[in-house]
Amino acid sequence: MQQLTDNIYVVVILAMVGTFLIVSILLYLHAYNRNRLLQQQQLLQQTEIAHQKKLMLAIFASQEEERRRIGTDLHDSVGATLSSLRLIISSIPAEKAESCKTMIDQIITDVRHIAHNISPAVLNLYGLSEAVEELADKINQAGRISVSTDNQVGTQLDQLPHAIMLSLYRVLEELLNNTIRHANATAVRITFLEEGDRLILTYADDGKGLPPEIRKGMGLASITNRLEVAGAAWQFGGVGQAGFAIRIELPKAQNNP
Amino acid sequence: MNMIRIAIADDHTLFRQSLALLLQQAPGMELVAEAADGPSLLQALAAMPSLPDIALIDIDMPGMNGVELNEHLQASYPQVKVVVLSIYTQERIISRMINAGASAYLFKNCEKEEFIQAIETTYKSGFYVNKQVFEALQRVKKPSTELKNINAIAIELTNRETEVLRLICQEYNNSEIAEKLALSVRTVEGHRNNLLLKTGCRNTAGLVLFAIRYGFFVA
Repeated sequence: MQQLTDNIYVVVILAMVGTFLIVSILLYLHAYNRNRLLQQQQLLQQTEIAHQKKLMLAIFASQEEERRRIGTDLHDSVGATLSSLRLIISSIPAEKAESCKTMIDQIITDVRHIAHNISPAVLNLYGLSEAVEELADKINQAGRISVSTDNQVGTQLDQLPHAIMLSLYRVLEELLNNTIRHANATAVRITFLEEGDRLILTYADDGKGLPPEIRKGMGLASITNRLEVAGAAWQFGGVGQAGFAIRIELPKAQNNP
Repeated sequence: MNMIRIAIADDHTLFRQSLALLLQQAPGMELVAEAADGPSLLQALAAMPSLPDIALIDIDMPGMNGVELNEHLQASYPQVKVVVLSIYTQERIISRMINAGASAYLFKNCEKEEFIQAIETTYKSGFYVNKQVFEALQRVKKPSTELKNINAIAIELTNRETEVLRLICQEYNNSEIAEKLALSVRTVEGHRNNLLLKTGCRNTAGLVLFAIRYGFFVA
């Protein structure tokens, strides 16, 4: 009798151990599968994000390319033809020529403004540092808001790839526009400096700052989109702090672009 | 009277031809080279037995733009005076071009009379400053009001040198300045050389730029 009971115990224990083993194997397999699925999903998401980023980059690039082309066309064909026309008109009778010349001057000025908005000549010729100074000059000359700049990394800024310089230029243009239109500010400060292998751009005004809903919302999308595509990181000034501030970090230009 | 010898670089054929026509009609001026871009102008200059007095250059040209062309000209042919003729009116571009050694900056929609006068003045005095250039040079940010030469070392000018600098800005040449100040031409040349040394400028246009920037010259 004792023998029989022992055997039953052994069988029961064996069965229990077996079941336990099977269950744990099943559990492990399940967890493993789930994990793999998750990883795959994550990978997929990452590729998708990378793809989207690439796509945006392509869109921005083609947009800027197109702007550049239109700008050059306007400047080159329309502008140059007008200049020639004006020279030719100089040789016809004075009374008639005068009104023609005034009109041509008006068109030349208009074309110049359009061309400049589409593709900033100073940036194309001299790089970002000078272009930012020009932005500042223009606002300072208008006199309502004073823009001060401190640029300690001029050469490095101008060595950035053209597309990145253009992105930063457009971002600054947009920031200045926002300050002028919404901030009720009197002063703006723009600084460029370096920290290790990164370039730091800070922008701050003394206006009324951003309301929280805009901070999270789409109001700044055109700015953050551009920054993301340029490979920059950014951070807005603290809530409750007076005025609007943004700090932008981006990697220095590679020596071999 | 000596003819003023002129070279042109501009990629717009119609505009170039209009300029050529204008120069033909102007007494005392002679068009000696015409190029559609920077490299062709440099090639033409390299092949010429005697250099032109003045190079009229555009900024926006395919291949080598006017900024680069001006640098090449200043480096290889400093005796050729560069007159920029561009549609750009941005003050930063004007001041950078003059800083880089250009003797004058004209807008492409300037009057024929101003165009001719600019060439004659540049030929005679080494520079020509119109209202736009003057304003651009004054308004573009200056680091400090202290006198600084190109190497950023504070300098001092003697009274005589200041006097000579003012007269240079009023488009007087050496012998005219000598007459006005009752000095010999050699002495005036000496003052001019000292000014160039002290300010670190390369040419008369640079001196005028310096004078405008530091308030010696008020139009």
